[in-house]
Order: sequence, then structure tokens, then C-alpha cells
Amino acid sequence: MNPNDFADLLNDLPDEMIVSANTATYKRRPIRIYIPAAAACAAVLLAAVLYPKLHMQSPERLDSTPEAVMTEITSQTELTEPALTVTQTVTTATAASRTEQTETAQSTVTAAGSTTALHTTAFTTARTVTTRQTTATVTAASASVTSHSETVTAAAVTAVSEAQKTALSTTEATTGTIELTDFPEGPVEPVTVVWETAATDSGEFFHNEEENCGIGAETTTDTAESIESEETTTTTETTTTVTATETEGSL
Amino acid sequence: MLLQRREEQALRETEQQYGALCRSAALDILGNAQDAEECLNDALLTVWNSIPPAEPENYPAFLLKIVRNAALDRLRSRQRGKRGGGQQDAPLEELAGMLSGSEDVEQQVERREMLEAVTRFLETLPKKQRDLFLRRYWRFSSAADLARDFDMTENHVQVMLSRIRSRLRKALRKEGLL
Repeated sequence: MNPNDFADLLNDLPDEMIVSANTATYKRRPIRIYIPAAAACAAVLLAAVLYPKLHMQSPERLDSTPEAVMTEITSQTELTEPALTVTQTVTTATAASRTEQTETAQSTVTAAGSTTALHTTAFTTARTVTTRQTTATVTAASASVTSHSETVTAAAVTAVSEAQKTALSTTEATTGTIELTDFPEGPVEPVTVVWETAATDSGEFFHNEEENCGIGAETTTDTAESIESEETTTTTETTTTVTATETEGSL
Repeated sequence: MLLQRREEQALRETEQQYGALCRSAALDILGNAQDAEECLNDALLTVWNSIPPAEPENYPAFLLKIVRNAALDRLRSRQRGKRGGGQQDAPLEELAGMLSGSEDVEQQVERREMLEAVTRFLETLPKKQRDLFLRRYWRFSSAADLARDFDMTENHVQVMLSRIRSRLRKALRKEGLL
């Protein structure tokens, strides 16, 4: 069959097909383009009109007392509420535990940072004998890191810092004992930091002759250079002995 | 019906009601407005001579078929003098590609079977694709005109026609007609 025969053959197709093919129009009429847009605008306008009315509707029971409403709500939700409470409690406990662990870790880090800060302050300013002695104690406490955990060391450093503050605030002889027992990391034997401050009226600087530190057992003696670098006229000689000792055994 | 009563008013009303459609169909086939106008006049004369005794159930289809036959006759007589090259040759060439290799079968297949097979195939097509196919191969509309009338791009028209031809070829082969 050649194309001309096929073309002739098509002329015998059903009439409906031929009329449809010759009269059908598929060109989109311009007005149809705007129908969706008009529908959208109408919907927006309708919503704009209805929304304020819905918004202004008053609550159903303005005259009910809070107690009555609460009672009713409680009675209505009695079956489902306990299950929710249990779930919330468990969640809260878990969160608290995590928080505690986080804070412990942070305090340990902070204490280690304080150690460095104390070192820095002591060696750069060195204003008083107390500071130098405290420096020696801090050094001893730092030395114990190898044999103790950082938490114990940090606690000792904190105690020494307290002794330093006390020594600076008075010219009288003072003594004190700080016992460290509460360590977050668990059963660690108690560590006691004993400090003692002696006041004299000599204009000389105090030379720390001995440090008996049970934790690190390190002795620090002030050098002549560090003493001479102090140009401050000290009228009160303060002797501070800070001793950190372990109550039982050697750590 | 006026034509059955042999009233010339029937031709004027036919011209008024279907003149534009028939003129457009003839113009698609012939590609020349003057030839299309003459083709329409020939078709009206054929209608006048055919009714009666013919009693067409679908008068527009009847009229369109006469217009098309007249246009194809005019086209072929013109092509005998000057061979091809116009847009009207393209649909025939496309159909030749689809029908290639059918010479051996041609003598064994009756025209009626082919028509029924094509009709069945066209009935399976979506209406838009069927109209597109017939506008191209019944009326020989150009791709540009089809793109405009069917709200498609010319490339899309060509692709869709190619797919329809491929499917028709496959369907005819399946029935042993190609």
C-alpha cells in the first residue's frame, strides 16, 4: 500500500472521527488562565472576611470557675494522664543525671585551669610572702597529679586558695584545716589541707624553709631574685605555712 | 432538507455554515487559497449532484470528505505536472516511511481490513492524539498550524506524530497487514 492509497483509505474513517479532527480546538482560551487566579483571590477574600468573625467568637464557658474547669478536665483525663506523668518523670530523671555528669566534668576542667592561673599570678606578681608560700603549696598540689586524680588535686588547690585569702586578709596568726572528703568520682580517701599563718613585725620577707605536703611532698624556697624584685615595703611579715596532708596513709 | 428538495438555498447555507471549515481543509491540503476556493466550488457542485440520491447521516463529514477528495485530486493532478517539494508532500513521505516494505503484503490484504485495523487503532488513542493524527494525515495540516491549534510546540507535535506512526506500524504488523 502506497501513501496515496493510505491517504484515500483515511477518507473512509468514521464520520465522527473526521468531524472531530476538523472542528476540535485545543488552544487554551485566555480566560481559562485567569480562572485559577480568580478562584484563589476569592478564597483569600472569603478567608479575610470569615477569620475575624471566628477570631471574635467568645469562649463557651466564661462563667465557670477555674476549680470547676480543672476538676472536670482532671476527671476527663484521668485514664491517660498518669501514663504521661510516668513518662515525663523518667525523662526528667535522665536529664538530671546527664546534667550532673556534665557539671562534674566542667568543674574538673575549671579547677585545672585555676591551677594554672594561680601559678601565673604567683610568679608574675608575687606581692606577699603568703602568695609565694601559696605558690609553693600549689606547686606541691600540682605535683600530685601523677598519683591522684585531677579532681583531688583541684580540690586541694581550691582549699589552698581559701587559705591564701585568709592569710592576706589578716596580720594575725591564723590556722585552719580543710578536709576534703566529698569527691564526685567516688570512694577516695579523705585529704586534709592544714594551713597556718604566723604574724610577725619584722620587715623582712619570710623564707619558707619547709613545706610538708603530704600530697606532693615538694619543698619550695623563695629565691633571692624573687625577693629582691619585691620593692614593696612590707611592714608586716606574714608567715604562712600551708600543709596538705593525708589523714590516712600515703596517696 | 433543502438539498433533497433541490433548492439552491441549500448551497448558500452550506457555504455560509461550513464554507470556512471546508476552505480551511482544502487550503491545508493544497496550500493555495485560490486552489482551495476552486476546490470548495467543485465540492459544492459534487454535493449538489450527490444529494439526492445520497442521504448522508453526518452532513459535515460528508461535505468534508468530498472537499478532501476534490483537494487530493487537484493536488495529484498538480503533482503530475510538477513533482513535490511543497509542504503537502511531507505527510505522504512520512506515510511512505511507515508503509515501506508492504508491497509484498499489499496484494494479499484487502483495503477493508486495513481500514478496520486503522480505525481500531485510532479508537485506542486519546482524543487529542487521534485528532492530531487525522489533522496531519487526513487534512495534511502543517506542523506549525498543528502546534498553534493544539497549543503545543512544533517539536512536540513532531515527536507525538512519530510515536503514533510507530505504534500504528506496530499494530498493523501485529495484524499481519504490513
